Amino acid sequence: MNGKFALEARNVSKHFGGVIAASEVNLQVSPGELRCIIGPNGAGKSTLFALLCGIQRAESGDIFIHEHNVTQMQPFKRIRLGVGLTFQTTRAFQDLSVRRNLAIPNPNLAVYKEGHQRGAKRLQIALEGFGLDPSDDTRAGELPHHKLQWLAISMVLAGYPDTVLIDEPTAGMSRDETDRTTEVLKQLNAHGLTIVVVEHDMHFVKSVAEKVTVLHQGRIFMEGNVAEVTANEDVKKIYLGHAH
Amino acid sequence: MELDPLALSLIYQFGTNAAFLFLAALGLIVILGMMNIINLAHGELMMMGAYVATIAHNQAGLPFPLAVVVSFFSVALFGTVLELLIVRRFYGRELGALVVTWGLSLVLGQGTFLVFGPFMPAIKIPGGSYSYGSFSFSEYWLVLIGISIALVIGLYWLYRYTKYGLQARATMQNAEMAKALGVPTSRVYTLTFSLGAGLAGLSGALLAPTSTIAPFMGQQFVAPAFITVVVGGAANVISGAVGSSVLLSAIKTPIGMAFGAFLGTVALLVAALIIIRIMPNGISATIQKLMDRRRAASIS
Repeated sequence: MNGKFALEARNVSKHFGGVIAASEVNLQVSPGELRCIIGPNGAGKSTLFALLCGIQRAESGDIFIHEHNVTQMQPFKRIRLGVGLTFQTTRAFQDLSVRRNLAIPNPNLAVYKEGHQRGAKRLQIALEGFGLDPSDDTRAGELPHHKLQWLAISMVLAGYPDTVLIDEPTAGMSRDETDRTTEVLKQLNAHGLTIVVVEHDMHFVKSVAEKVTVLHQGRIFMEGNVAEVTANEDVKKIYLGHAH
Repeated sequence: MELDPLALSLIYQFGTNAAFLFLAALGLIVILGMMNIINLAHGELMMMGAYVATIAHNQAGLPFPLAVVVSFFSVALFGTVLELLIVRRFYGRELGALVVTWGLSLVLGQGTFLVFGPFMPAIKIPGGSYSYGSFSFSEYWLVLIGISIALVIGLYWLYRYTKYGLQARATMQNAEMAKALGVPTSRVYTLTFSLGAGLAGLSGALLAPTSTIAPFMGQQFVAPAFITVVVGGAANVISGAVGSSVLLSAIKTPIGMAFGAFLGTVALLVAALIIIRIMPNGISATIQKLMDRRRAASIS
């Protein structure tokens, strides 16, 4: 895929009643980057993901995927431009088998003119790393929590995106499971996948992120590398000081 | 070996009752069972199918099977327009959908009355009948039983093995996640509602030769349709509706034959009440739970 940025938000705003979910947000994610977004609860992290994917519509501002303006585009068309999203709560289809869950995004395969091999390789990395069998007929509802999370990530990768937005991938996981998730995401990134992660677990953030964006009250509060962000007194005050 | 005519009649009545319940519920299986829309215009969609088939056959001279196909596509097209203009505004708002479809049922019933009058000459029942002992068996009802079985297989195949089926099941379970996986959910909703409407029209057309063709004929199908779908449950709407049709028919048929049609219907209603009390999520959820338990036991 071409373009200076894999994903870009320009002055994006969204309110829910009187609550500011996103206010004049400007975000640029370069191809191949692994970016973490942190912020206290209610900072607008999940809303920003929903806006980028079109699940929510921005009230103002523009969103670009590989320099295509997708602001008015329906979610499925944005996904076809190469962006995938997993949600904060696990949303694999519990009544469908693992195999069928992984098959849902597959009809989009034909849309990708290039990158099939890279996408397929990334999916293989995820499935092997997470210990998931793509021919497994077990109902997803019977999987333990961490495997459901991993299945949700693998489902998105089955659509062969080049950029994924992952919302709290390690929520509710043990340290071992978190470390395994970290390892797989790093491998995927090493294979060219652009990854944007919302995460509260600073151990995870420190071990994966090159660049961190701090959101607060719907605004971008700070951007920098992990050391800069964790050393910033204001960030500590609004977020890290409370949480850790 | 010679079959007892009474036993044969019992089997035949069981088959016709089950086929009637399944056909009455056919469109609702999709619209209520999958989409969770309480469609009170279901009977009127069936009525439209019956009218289209009657006009196509009696007035345009089309062969009856072709008239049935025309009914399916006509009512499906009407369903598409309905979904695009009205129904899509009420997804996730069950009470709103209930009121709007009820209003729609009144408009369709009264509109048909104004345009076509209080009744229309019926379609002659195709085929003849067989006699065995003191009982006679309609060839057409035997065909309807066969069509019902074919429709079960067709629907199962559609939702189990096609791209649309997988996307529809995903969309109905979690539309946001389906969107995030690139599924065009608006299109899936429109297609699914159109299919449900078309199937209601198809059922109306198939049952037209067995009914009086009148603007309010749909009302006779609404109660059996809702009972069949609710008793069947939403865990697996197709197997649920089949299980429910078979079980309710197995209760209604012997009681109806022994004590008359009225008490047969009463038995069906009582049975539905008891089943819903014992299995609040329907037959399909209970079957699913039993299968899960068996699988878990076999693993451990």
